[in-house]
Amino acid sequence: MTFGKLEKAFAAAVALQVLILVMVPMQQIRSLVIGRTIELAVEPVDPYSIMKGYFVTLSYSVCRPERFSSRGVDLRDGQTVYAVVEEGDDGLWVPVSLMTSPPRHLERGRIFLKGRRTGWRGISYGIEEYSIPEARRGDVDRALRQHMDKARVRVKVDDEGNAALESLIINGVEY
Amino acid sequence: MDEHLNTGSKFRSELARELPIWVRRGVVEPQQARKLELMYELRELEGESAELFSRTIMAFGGLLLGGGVMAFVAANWEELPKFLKVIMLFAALLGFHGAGFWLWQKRDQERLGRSLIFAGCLVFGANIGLLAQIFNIQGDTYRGFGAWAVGTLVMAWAIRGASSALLALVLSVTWYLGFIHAHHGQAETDLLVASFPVLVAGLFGSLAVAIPSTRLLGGTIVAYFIAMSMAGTHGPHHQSPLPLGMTMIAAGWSAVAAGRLFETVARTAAMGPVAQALGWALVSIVGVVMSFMNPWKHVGACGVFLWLIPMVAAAAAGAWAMRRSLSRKPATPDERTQLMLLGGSIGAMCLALIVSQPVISPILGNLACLGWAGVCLLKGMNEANRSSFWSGAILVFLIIVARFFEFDTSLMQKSAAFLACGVGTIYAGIKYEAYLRSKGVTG
Repeated sequence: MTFGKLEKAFAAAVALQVLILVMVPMQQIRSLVIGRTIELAVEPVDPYSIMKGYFVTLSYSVCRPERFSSRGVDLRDGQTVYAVVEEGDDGLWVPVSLMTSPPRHLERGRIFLKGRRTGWRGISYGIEEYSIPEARRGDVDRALRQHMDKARVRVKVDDEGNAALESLIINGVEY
Repeated sequence: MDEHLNTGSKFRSELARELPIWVRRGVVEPQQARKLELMYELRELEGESAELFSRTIMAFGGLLLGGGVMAFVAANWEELPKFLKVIMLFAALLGFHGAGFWLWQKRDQERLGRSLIFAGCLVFGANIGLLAQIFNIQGDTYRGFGAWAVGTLVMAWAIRGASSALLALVLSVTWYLGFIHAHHGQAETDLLVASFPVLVAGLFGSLAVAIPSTRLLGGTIVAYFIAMSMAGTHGPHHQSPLPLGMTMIAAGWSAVAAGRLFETVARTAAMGPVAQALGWALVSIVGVVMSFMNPWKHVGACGVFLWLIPMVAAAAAGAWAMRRSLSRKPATPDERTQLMLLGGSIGAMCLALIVSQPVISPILGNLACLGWAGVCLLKGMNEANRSSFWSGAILVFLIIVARFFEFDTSLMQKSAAFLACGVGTIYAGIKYEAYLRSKGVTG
C-alpha cells in the first residue's frame, strides 16, 4: 500500500467512526432541540447496564396497551405503534388511543408518541432508561423510595413522535 | 539500514560487545569488523540509547500528564455541560488516532503509533457508551457493540491492523450473539444465521491473509466455528444431531482444506498449520462425541433446513480450496493415503449422522475418530511432524479411555486401561523418536 492510499484509507476510517458517533445521538438531539415538552408519571426499577453505567428503568402508563381506549388494536411483538396522549389537569400527559399508523389529524392539545411493541414492557418509546450519575445514585434511590408517587419525567417529542428524555423529576427536584 | 538485517538494539548491543573479542581471538579480521560496524551502525548505538532514554522519559511524562487530565475530567464530568462532554469525546478519539498516525508515519514509530490507533478504537467504543449515557439513549446493548465493531473493522482494514481486527472480531461475535438472543424466532435472524459464517470468513479471514496475521486467522476460524455451530442449533430441530453435526464437520473440513491451500502460497504458508490444527481439533471433538452411544438414543426429527445453506457453502468452499491446493501442490503418494483416510472418516461421520441409529452411528463415530487419528499419525510419520503424531496418539487413547468410562466397567478394568494407555504412550513415543532419528531428524 502506498503512503497516499494509507492516508486516505485511515482518514476514511476515522471519518466513519466520527459519523457513527454523530449518528448515535442524532434522533435524541433532534427531539431535544425541536420537540414539544410533555411530562409523564413514572414507575422505576434499577438494573445495571455494562454499556451505560447506572440508570433507572422507567415505566409509564403509555407503556401499557390496556390503558388506552382503543383496546381492539391487535399488536404483534416488534410492531411500530403510535400512542396519542393528552395533557391532564395535573399537567401530566395521559394515554388516549393507540394506532398502527401515524395519526393525520389530532385534536388540539394532543400529540402522539412513536413506540414499538415489546414483550414484557408492553410498548417501548426509547425513553424507559435514564442515566444516573454514580455520585447521585444514592440520592435518586432514596428519593424514588420516599416519593414514588411524585416521580415524573420531562420528555421532548418531535413532529414524527420520536421522544427523548430530558430530565427525571422527583418531588420537584430535577436529576 | 537494510530491512533484512536484524536491526534490534539488543542484538546490535551484543554484537558491539562481542566484536572486539572476535577480533582479538582472530575469528574476524579488523577490516571485517569495521564493515560489520558500518553495516549495523554500531557507532550510533550510544546516541540511540540516549535518545531512547529521553523518549522514555517524555512518554512517561506524557502518560502522567494524560492521566492527570483524565482524572481531572472524570472528577468534573457530571458538572460539565452536554456539548462540552461531546466535544471532549470527539477530541479524545481524534487525538488518539491523530497522534498514532503521526507517530507511525512521521516519526517512524510504527509500534507505538499502531498501539495508539488501537487505543483510539477502544476510545471509540467507550464514546458510543458515553454518548448513549449523556443522551439517555435506550436500546439493546448489542447494537452498541455492532456500531463499535463496524468502526473498528473499517479501521483494521485501513491500517491492516491485527489487534484492531481481533477487537472487531470479538465485538462482531458479541453483536451476533446479542442479535440472535434479541430477535429469537424472527425472520431477520434466519438470514443472519445463514450468512454470518460467510461474513466472518470473508471480512476477517481475507484481512488475516492480507496482513498476514496467524493470530487473527486463528481467531477468525474460532469465530467461524461459533457461527457455524449457531447455524446448526438454530431452529426447532427436536434433538436431531444432524444439523449441528453436519455444520461442524463442514466447518472443520473447510478449515483443514483452507490450511492446505495456505501452505501452497509462500505468503500464507505459516498460517496453514493453524487452520489445519483447528479444523482437525473441531472434527475430532465432534467425532469423540459421536463415538458415545448415549447421544444417539434420544434422536428426534430434523425440521428446518436453514442450516443446509452454510453447511453446503462450507463444504463447497472446502472442496474448492482442496482442489486448488492440489493443483498447486499435488499430493505425494503418502499424502494421498492421508487424504483418502480423511475423506473416509468424514464420510463415516456424515453417514452416522444421516442414519442416526443407536448401534451403527457410534460404531461409525469410533471408526471416524480412528481414521482422523490415522491421518495425524501418518502425517507425523511422513512429514516428521511431532505435533501431528502426538495429536493422533492422544485421539486414539482418548477413544479407548472414553469407552471404559462409557460402559459400566470395574475400577480394576479402568485402572488396566489407564496403565495400558500410559505404557502405550511411552512405547509409541520411544519408537517414534527412534524412527525420527533413523530418518536423521533432530531437535
